[in-house]
Amino acid sequence: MTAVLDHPTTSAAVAGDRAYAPSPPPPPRRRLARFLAVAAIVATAGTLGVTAGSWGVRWNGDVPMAATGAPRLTELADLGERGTYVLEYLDGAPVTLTIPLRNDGLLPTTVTSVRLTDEVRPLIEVGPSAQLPLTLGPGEEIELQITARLDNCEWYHERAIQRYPSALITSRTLGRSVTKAVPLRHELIVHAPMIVGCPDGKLDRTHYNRSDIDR
Amino acid sequence: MRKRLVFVLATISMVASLLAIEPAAAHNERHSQFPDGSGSVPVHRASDQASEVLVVCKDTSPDAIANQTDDDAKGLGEAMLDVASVQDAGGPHGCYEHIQQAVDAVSEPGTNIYVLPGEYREQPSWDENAECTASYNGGEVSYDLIVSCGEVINLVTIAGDSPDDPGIACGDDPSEVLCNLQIEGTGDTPADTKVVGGFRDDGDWVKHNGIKADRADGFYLKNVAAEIFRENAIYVHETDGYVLEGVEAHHNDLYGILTFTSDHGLIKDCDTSFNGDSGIYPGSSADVNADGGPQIDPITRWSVEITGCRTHHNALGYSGTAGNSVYFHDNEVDNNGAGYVTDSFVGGHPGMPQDSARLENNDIHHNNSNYYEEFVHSGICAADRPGDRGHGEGTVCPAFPVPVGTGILIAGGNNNLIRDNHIYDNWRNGVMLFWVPGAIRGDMEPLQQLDTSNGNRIVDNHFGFDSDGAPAHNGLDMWWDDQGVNNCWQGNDTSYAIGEVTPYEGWITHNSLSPVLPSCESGGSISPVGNAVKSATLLPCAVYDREDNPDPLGCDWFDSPQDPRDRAVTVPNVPGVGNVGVTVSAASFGTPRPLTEVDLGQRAVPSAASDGLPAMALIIPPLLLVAAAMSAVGVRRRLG
Repeated sequence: MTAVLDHPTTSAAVAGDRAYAPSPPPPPRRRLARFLAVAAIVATAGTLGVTAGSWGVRWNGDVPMAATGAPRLTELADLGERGTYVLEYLDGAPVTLTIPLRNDGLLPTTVTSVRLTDEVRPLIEVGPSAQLPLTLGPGEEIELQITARLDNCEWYHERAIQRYPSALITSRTLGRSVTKAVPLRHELIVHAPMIVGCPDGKLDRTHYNRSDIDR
Repeated sequence: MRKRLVFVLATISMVASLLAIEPAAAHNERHSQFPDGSGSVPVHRASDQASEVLVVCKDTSPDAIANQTDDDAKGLGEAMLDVASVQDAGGPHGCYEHIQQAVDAVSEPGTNIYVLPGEYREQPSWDENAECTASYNGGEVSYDLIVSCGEVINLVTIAGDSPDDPGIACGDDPSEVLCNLQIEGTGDTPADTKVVGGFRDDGDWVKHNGIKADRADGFYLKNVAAEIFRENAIYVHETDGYVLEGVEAHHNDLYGILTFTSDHGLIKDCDTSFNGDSGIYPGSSADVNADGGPQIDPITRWSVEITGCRTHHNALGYSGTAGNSVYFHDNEVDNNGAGYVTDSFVGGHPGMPQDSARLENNDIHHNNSNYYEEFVHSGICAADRPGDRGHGEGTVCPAFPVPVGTGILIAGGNNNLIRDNHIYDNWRNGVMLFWVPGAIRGDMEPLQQLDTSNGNRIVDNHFGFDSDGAPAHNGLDMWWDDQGVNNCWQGNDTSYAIGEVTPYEGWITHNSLSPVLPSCESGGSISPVGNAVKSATLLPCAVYDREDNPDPLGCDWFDSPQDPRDRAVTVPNVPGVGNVGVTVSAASFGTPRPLTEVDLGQRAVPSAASDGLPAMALIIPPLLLVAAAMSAVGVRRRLG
């Protein structure tokens, strides 16, 4: 293919035609090539835009997390393929979770929000973080502290377990906002309490369906 | 110029591609406590041994008695009709019309209440009592509330202890007249005397519980059926000394028979079916053998003896969170989703972790009913009105996740003895044994994280054989997560060994990483740490929620296991430890689906190792376009 593109005769002939005669309509093959070239530019630009955020947000959360507050956090490295953190459910209790993060990307990025799940009425209800927004340069690390509250047990069966495999980090890079699920070193789980540990819990079990709750 | 443009485009696309491919990166509704254990199992009383006799009947009872075929039962019913005519309680034929009326009329401990054949709906308990309704918010139910307003959740309430004294024992105050109460149906069968909850006009359940004996030491219930309750048909709570004999409990959304924090119990000759949790649940039973009692022959002390029962077609035949010191023998457990399940999984249960159950001489078979698929995944259990779900006609809405096709499941139990049972035709696993760390039940102390799945003995069982010796394979005889200390297997046999040379005596099919399951003579297992790969197959299933998460990603417990007869199974044919392979079916081990970005919510962009494919998907189209453009230009030039 390189040999054909560099063919000098073909290039000269085309240039000479243009000097002495009105340009004829491009032949169908040339129109196709132009169309494809433009399409490629557009697609590439789009791809760059979409992936730009990803360049800067290669988080690394593979370090131990910690919790402060009344609810205790137990690390069980041998439970489950990735190990498990179990957070104690104490209704209404605040807890601060520390999630170390490192920006492994090539660009600086600004963390704007952190969640643990998109589920409605999660057992770990994450609140706003005083550290956010926060800009991290390439290679920078931070211990991100998120404040949360053990809550919503009235929506769960006493045997229910909720899993939090990742932190959902939303950040802005090159003007583009991206949310990434950053796997925690171990999966975080919390077990819903019995009704005696859930002041708003009801025996009739009619409040368990969260699927029709507005977010 | 065009050449340069195309080259630049191609370069940009390739660089973008490379950059975008990132590096892999109980139900118990109040705080409960054990009785002091000073009680005893009550003994059945004849009417002439009772301190008082009360009779309950319906208009139709005399006709029903006339049609009875059991002479003894018929004679008892006729005699009680005579008593009723003297009693003159204001109901039909001089009877009390409702069981609760008779309970409320008891004036002495040791009373017998006879319930003549008929259907008992207990309508007075349905009525809204404004004072009671106002004092109950639908949540925790205190014992005081049970005494004053038991009807807020129970159809029939027997509250033995006075709330005015500090203890929970019945009989330490003269006002406690419901101690040693006996309620007995006089029909030919339990179904002749039926306590029915059912549904209100608006489709909601009538009551949470059918008959509840609460701190009612010495309670004896005989020959009665109860069915269709939001929670439990028969419920015994904080009671020392009770017998449930010849009772039936069907079609309830949780348990057929529930006992909780009780001692000195006997449940015999019962029949339970179509319950959404289990047929029989002796949860948090008194922990009287915590020091290893059930390993000692003969057994002399247990918290509850369950015998002569058939529990079938439930989500679980038997379950017992902290089902301690349960003596379960000579029962039939069949056609459930899982047969016998005991666990240390849920917090708030006194007596954790579970220990010291003894299972002997039971038939545990064909527990392959997949109610998850049939009723949950189909949406039937999601009907807004419980009355529209078909409870009463066989609908079972499992409240708890279990691996369908399992005979016995011990999820975090200690010192259980499983001996001389026939465990067969369970298409996934005959027995499952695995570790549940303390944190799962809310015990966060580091030393409690390895305190389960130790000291269990599985001996002299007949895997894959019915009681007549006919073979019917389990999918796998033994699923074990290789965790625990002093767990052992010995003297078992298996249908898979028929006509084969087995690797060693007592060999059964199993999934252990060790070729030989540790024997009891050797002291049993020595691995306190769990197998992460195996536990990884369990965790996804723990998040099952029949309303919100009925089919958790990565969980295969609710897939119907294949009939073992349809599978080829390899039996190791060279004796000797070195050559003992593990005979396993794929279905029994499980094939967990990997977690994907779908788990993480639609709005999340996948990260880490899962990024490669989506990124490539973004890059490939422009690359193809560039290649096409280059190709088209080249073709044109060749033509020109």
